Amino acid sequence: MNPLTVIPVSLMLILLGSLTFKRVNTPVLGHQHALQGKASSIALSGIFLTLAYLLLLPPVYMGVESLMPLTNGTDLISKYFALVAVAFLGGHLSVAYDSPLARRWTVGAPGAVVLGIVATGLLGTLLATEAPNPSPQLLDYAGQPSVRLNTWLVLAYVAYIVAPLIRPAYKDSRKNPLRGGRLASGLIAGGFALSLIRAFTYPVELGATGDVTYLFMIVSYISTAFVVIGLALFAYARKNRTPQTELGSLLSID
Amino acid sequence: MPVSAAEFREWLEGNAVSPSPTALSTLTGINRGTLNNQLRRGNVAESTVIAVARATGTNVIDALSVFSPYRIIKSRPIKPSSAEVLSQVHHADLMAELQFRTSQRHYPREMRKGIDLIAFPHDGSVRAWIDAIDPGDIRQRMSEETGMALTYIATQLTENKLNPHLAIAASRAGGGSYASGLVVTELITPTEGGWQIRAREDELLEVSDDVLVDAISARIHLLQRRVKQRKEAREYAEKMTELLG
Repeated sequence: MNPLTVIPVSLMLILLGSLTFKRVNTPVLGHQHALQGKASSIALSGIFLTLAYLLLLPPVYMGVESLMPLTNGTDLISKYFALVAVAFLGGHLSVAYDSPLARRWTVGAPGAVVLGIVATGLLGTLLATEAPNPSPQLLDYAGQPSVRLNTWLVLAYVAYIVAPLIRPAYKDSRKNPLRGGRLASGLIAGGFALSLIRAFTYPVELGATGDVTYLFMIVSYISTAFVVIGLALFAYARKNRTPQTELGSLLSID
Repeated sequence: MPVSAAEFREWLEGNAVSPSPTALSTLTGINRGTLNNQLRRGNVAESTVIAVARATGTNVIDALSVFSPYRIIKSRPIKPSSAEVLSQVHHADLMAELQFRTSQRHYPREMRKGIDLIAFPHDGSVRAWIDAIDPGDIRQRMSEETGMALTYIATQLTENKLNPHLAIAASRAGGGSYASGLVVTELITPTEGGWQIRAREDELLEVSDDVLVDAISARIHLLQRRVKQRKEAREYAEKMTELLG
C-alpha cells in the first residue's frame, strides 16, 4: 500500500465527497435543485466520481473485491463509475456552455459509441491482464501492456469528452459578468486542459520509473480538483444569489 | 504618455529636488521601487510629476507644461467650458434640477438644501465628457493621434477611464481646455485644473432649460444602454449559476 497513491485518493475523496454532500444538502431546495433541477447531472456526476474514488481506497477495494467474480473487477467498476461521471458532466457542461459540438460528442450517437468502445476495451484489457492479486488501479501490474492500454483508455475517454469543452469554458472565463464565475470557468478550463495534456503525453509517462509515475497521476487529481472547485464556486454563487446581489440595480450608487 | 526621465531629472534639479529614488519616495510617498523602475526605464509617469509638484508646492499645470508631451497644455485656456462642467453632473442631479424647475410647489429647491451634488467621477462621467466635447469624430481622431485602437478606447470609456495620452488627444480634438481631460480622469484635482469650487452647482443653476433637457435626454439614452447591458449580463450570470451551481 503505497502512501503516494492512498493519500491523494483519500484527499480527493474528502474533497469530492464533501462538495457533493454540500451540493445535495444545501438548504433552500438544495436537494431538489441538485437531484431534480437543472443541475441534476452535476450532482449525479459528483456521486459517481465519489463512488469511483471510494472504491479505490484499499480497505473498500479489498472488501468489494471479495464479492467480485473477477479479480480486480472492483477497479473495472471504479473506472466505469468514473466514465459515467465524466459523461454526465460533459453532457451537462455542453448545454451550460451552449456548445452543440460538445453536446454531440458527449451524449450524441458518437458519444455513446465511444463510451461503449472504451467500456468494452476496459473489460478486454482487464481480462488480458495477468493479475492474480487485488491491486487498486492495477498499480502492481502497471508494467503490463494491457494495463497500460487500460489506463490510457480512461485518459483518452476523458480527453475526448473535455476537449470540445475547453474553448467554451475558456470563453466564459473571459466574459462571465461575475468575478467568481470567471474564476470558476477558468478553473474548469484549466482542469480540462490538464486532462487533455495528460492523455496526449501518456507515452512520456510510460518511460517513467519508480515514484515518478505517481507524479503523472497527481496531474489527473489536480485537474479533477480544479473542475470540482470550479463547479463548487458556481454552487456558492447560486446559493448566495451572487448574480442578483452583484449585478443588481445599475441605478443605485449607494 | 509618460515624460522622459532626462527631462524629469532636469526639472528636479531646476527645483532643487534630489533625483534619488529614496529622496523622492520620502517626498511623495510613492514606493521607492516604483520610482526606481520609472527612472531606470526612462519613462516617468505623469502622476509622479504631479506628486512632486504637490509636495513642493509647485502649480501642477506649470509643472506638467515643462515636459514635451504637455507643453501645449497652456496654449489654450485652462478653465473648463460650460458643457464640460455640466458633463460631470450626475444624471440624477440633472433630473433633480428639472424637477425643481418644473414645480416649486411639488419639488421645492429647499428639499435639496445641505445635500451636495453626487461627486465625480461617477459611472459614465468620462464618456459624458467625451460626448460633451465631441465635434463628431472625436474617437476616430483620438485613435489616429495616439495609435490606439477604437475598441481599446471604447473599453476604456466603458470602464470610465482614459489614460493621459487619450485625454490630451480628446481635448485637442474637442478644441477645449487641455486640463479638463486630466481633471475628469482624476489625474489632477478640479482646483488644480482651474475649476471654480462650486463650478458644477453654479452651472446647474445657470444652464438654460433647453440645454438641461438635451443633457438629460443624452444621459437617459446612455443609461438605457447600460441598464440593458446590465440586465443581459445578470440574466447570463443567473443562467450559468442555475445550470452549474
